[in-house]
Amino acid sequence: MRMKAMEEVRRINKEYPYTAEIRKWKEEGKKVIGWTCNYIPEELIAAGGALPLRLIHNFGEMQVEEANAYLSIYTCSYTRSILQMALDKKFNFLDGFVSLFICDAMRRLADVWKNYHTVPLLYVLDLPHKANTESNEFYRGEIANMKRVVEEATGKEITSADLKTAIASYNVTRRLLKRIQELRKDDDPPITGVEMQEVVNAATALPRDDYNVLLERLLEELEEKRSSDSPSRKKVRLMLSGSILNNVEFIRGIEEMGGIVVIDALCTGARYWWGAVDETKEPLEALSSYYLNKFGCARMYPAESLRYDQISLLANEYRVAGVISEVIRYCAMNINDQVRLRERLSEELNIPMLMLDMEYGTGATGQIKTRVQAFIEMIGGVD
Amino acid sequence: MIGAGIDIGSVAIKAVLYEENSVLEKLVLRGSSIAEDGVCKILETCLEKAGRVMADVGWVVYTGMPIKSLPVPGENKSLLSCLAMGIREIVPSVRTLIDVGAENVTVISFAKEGFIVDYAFNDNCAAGAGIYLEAMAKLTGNDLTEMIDKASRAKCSAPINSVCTVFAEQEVISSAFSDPPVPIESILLGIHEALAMRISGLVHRVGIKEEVCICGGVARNTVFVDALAQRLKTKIQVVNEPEVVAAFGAALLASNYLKRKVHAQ
Repeated sequence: MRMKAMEEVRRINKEYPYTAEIRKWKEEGKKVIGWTCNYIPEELIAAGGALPLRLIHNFGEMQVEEANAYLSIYTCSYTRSILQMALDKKFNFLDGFVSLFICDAMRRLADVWKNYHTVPLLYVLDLPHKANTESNEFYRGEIANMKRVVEEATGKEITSADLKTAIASYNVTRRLLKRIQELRKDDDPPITGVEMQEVVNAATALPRDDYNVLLERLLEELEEKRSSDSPSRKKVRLMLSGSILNNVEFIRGIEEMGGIVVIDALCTGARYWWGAVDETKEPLEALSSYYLNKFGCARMYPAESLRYDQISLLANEYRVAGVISEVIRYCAMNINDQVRLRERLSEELNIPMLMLDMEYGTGATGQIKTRVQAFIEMIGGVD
Repeated sequence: MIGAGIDIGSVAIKAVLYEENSVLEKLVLRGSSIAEDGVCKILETCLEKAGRVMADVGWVVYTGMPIKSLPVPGENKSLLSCLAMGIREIVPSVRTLIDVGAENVTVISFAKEGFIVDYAFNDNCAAGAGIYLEAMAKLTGNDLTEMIDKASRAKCSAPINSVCTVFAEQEVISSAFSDPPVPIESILLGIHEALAMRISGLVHRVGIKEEVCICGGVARNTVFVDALAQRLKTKIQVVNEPEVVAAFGAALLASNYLKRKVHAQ
């Protein structure tokens, strides 16, 4: 049975970045603001009446040419791909660009963008490494600054009520995605890792309320599929971790080898929608505390509680047999993350981990397939 | 029924036929560049030698380089599984296996009970595998046996730091043309030691536990194995007929598959 909601998701991904929904939105005279990092409070942009669009490249590895002239070869291929798309005029419809000082590559992307690809609004947030009272106060200030910049760009004051509405709507997404995620606990999950990634990839390329409706439809269809499906061949349950990942072909490669991805720790996956913003608190305070304390990036501290505890918990909860950790070259924070992650997984849960060197957008190449096949056979046991 | 194992390498194809708990025939074919053709050819030749026909083959397990179409019913298994299966049969007490092929280096660490604890492959490029030695032999105007022979007679070694074929070439040339020129024997020994250094790094990634075995075509290179043993400070056992270990493991997997099938019926 073909899923209607899933087809809609695929259409959106195919049209990305200038989807039919965004075209309509622009025709109504409304603004679209691009953003890059998982720690940028997109609720703020939505509250300003603009559409926050996450800048990604979701089909294959990008041929980066001109971007190499602006960004050094040792910045990651994610930032170079995004710059290349900007230079290819793929993002010309944007009314603004918000980036974040999460790592050096992201900073350089914002710098180059500022110099060579002017957009009416450009703002770069600063993000503390730690989550404590002082950093919370600091990040709240950063968010307040960003609010002023968004207000200037949209010419509309963002009231507390606007923010609350936006937060509520984004929380609905988080809850819905969480419910879809829970279905992956099944022995034979009704949604594959590829499909889940497609769903999250599409998240920002349409107005949020429409996306929520789409998710509800998807959830219904999945429930239906779940009750009608007969269990299929047993697959090796896997978790994905590592650098930013949008190309579903990579996941498809893993799943064709006899694995099934049931959970991830990616900023374009579970870490995007994890948890929920506290709707009872003062909005800026609530946003700051949500972003600093959410399921953490490899950059954040204390890593043990923000990140590894969470990964162990999920690996257990989703009965994962192995973790595949993909690291984009020069993604220093994720490279440094590998040692401790491997240690925690093997000591605590006796789960093996496979690390793969990648570029942003690498699909299932022969080399990756060989490694994944060996890994899955090792977990499954040689018979 | 015969269970066949075929290991498709970049320089040679290896086949083992296995029937009723013993090896019927084995064969190594060098220079079979087109995998699909090579697979048919080696199977036919092997069967002919054993006096059997294609219809006797029940199942084939392929490993090594991926091939698109399978000429005989069978399946593809990873090199890791095949190597593990093969070496555990040949040397049951093995704890660390180093497989050095033409383009691939695989290190496997085994638990006492025989299962795989950890493994490592060489990184993105084939520098630091057999192809490197072949390129260096060509550069210095030797064939492989000559190169090994000369290297074994070296009094001391010239430092060659790189296993990147391009950079190593420069180092070799500059040593050879230095004043006074470094003896060719020393350069050749240096080349072997550079390879040993690279591979010992990979071994350390999974850790060394005795008993250490080495297989793959490069295992026949005594100078290299000695250099590696010295670097790892351990004894290394060279497996008999080192290049067919993976094909042998594949044949075992194929024969196990046939046994299970019979059992299920």
